[in-house]
Amino acid sequence: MHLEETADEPKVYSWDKRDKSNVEDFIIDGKKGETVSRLPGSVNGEQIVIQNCQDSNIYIFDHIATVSVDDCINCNIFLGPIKSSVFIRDCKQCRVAVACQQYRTRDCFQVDSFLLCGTQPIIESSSRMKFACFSFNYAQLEQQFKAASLSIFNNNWSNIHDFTPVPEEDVNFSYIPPESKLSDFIPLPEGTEFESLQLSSDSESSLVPQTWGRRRKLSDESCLVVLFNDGSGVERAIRLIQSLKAKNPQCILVQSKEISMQPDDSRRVFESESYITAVQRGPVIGLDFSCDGCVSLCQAAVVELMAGATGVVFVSQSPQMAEKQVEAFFNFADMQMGI
Amino acid sequence: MGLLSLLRKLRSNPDLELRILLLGLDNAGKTTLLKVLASEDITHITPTQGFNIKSVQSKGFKLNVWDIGGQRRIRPYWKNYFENTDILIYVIDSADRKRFEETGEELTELFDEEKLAGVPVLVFANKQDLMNAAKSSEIAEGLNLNSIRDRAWQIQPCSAMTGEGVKEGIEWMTQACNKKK
Repeated sequence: MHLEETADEPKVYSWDKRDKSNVEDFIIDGKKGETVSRLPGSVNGEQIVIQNCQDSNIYIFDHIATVSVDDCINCNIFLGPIKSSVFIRDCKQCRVAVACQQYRTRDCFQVDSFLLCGTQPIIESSSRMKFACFSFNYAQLEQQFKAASLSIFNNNWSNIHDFTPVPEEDVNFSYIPPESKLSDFIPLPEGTEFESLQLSSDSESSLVPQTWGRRRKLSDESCLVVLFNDGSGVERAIRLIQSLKAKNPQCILVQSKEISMQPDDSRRVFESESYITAVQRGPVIGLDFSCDGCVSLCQAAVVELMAGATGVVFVSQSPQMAEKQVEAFFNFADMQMGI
Repeated sequence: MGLLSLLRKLRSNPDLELRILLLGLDNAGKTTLLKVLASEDITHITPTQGFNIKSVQSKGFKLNVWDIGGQRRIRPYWKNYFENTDILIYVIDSADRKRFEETGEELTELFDEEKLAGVPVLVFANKQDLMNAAKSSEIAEGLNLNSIRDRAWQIQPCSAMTGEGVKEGIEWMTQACNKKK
């Protein structure tokens, strides 16, 4: 009898007990010609809603659960790391910089996106969309990426899936030229409250490595470099990218992935038994470089990188093998991630 | 907490084989829910371009869960999956207030489908963990669920992300199936 009575009581869930009195702080609605910002710590992984804004600058310098951007015209929007999805709908002439797990648009026109996306970005009924690689940094950004479970190396910004492709030549999306600067699209906010953040939007100081993506490559030669999880893999990957870029400006990073590999995957991708122990230490970082002579450039750079250090790094042995290895590694990564 | 362990605990019909259809608008959380049901990792989920199927089989249970992409362009293909459905799970993003009307229209169309006549419907009012989420009672009212007379239905608040509320929905589902069969 007693049991039945308790079963009939409505179950109380965690959200029933939650204080939502400040929900308005997370909704940015109807701004006209204004600048709105949220500083680190103020959003703290909650949801953000942006709607009905016009001619406004909106900056969210924090990690976020999910974001919807609806019915905005001519706005500049910066969104910090998003754990799940950003959904942009019925927007036109907007410029957006965002790092997220999922990027989705519907019924948009002329939205320029500087993007880091952990999965394949999708667009539906959207036209004149432009894409470039996310380039931004501030003091708290790295920590916020971790809070949103995003890897700076898993970026599919240029691999767009269009649900409503048009048969004509004029496709619904294109890529922003690599020499373009984010600051020409989205200005940094001014004011003393931003000083401690040390904001920068130039590609050199970006937390996210700048990748060439699916833009037309300038050279047929590629090289695969894989760094293993020995405690300094991430730091080494960043140093390698920077030193290659500094010494050989023509050498581009086409794509990068951070992914877990099993011993069998390692045998198949590297066609060798040499990396079986290394892959079991944790996710590996794969880098695809391209330029004429890049295999020997990468080999030299890795020798320099590892001077006096222990640990193993995979580098393609020849341009012929590199082509196959790049394909094997990134096909594996895309399959693994369901892309 | 996977679907199978839950069913085992409930000691339902041991020869239960269910075809479960997961529908809802794009970005509702269908694939996340699918992965939660299959006890899989949900940290990396890509927008569904076609469909995902998970079949789980153990000790007399067989569950086939079909998760179909929800973009407007591909909704006309939903009907290809209606046949022999035992349970329809309809997933709603409770925080997407802009599209409550749109999701309601799609659900109404599903109710009118001959092939889904009498099929029990479990509506998951998903993403309750989000700040802007509407209560499930509010959603039920907006969808006019109380007027349904021709099938068993239930609305269940949940967060596929945290797992809260999913179990209660599945419990209702198995009871609805046992009654039907």
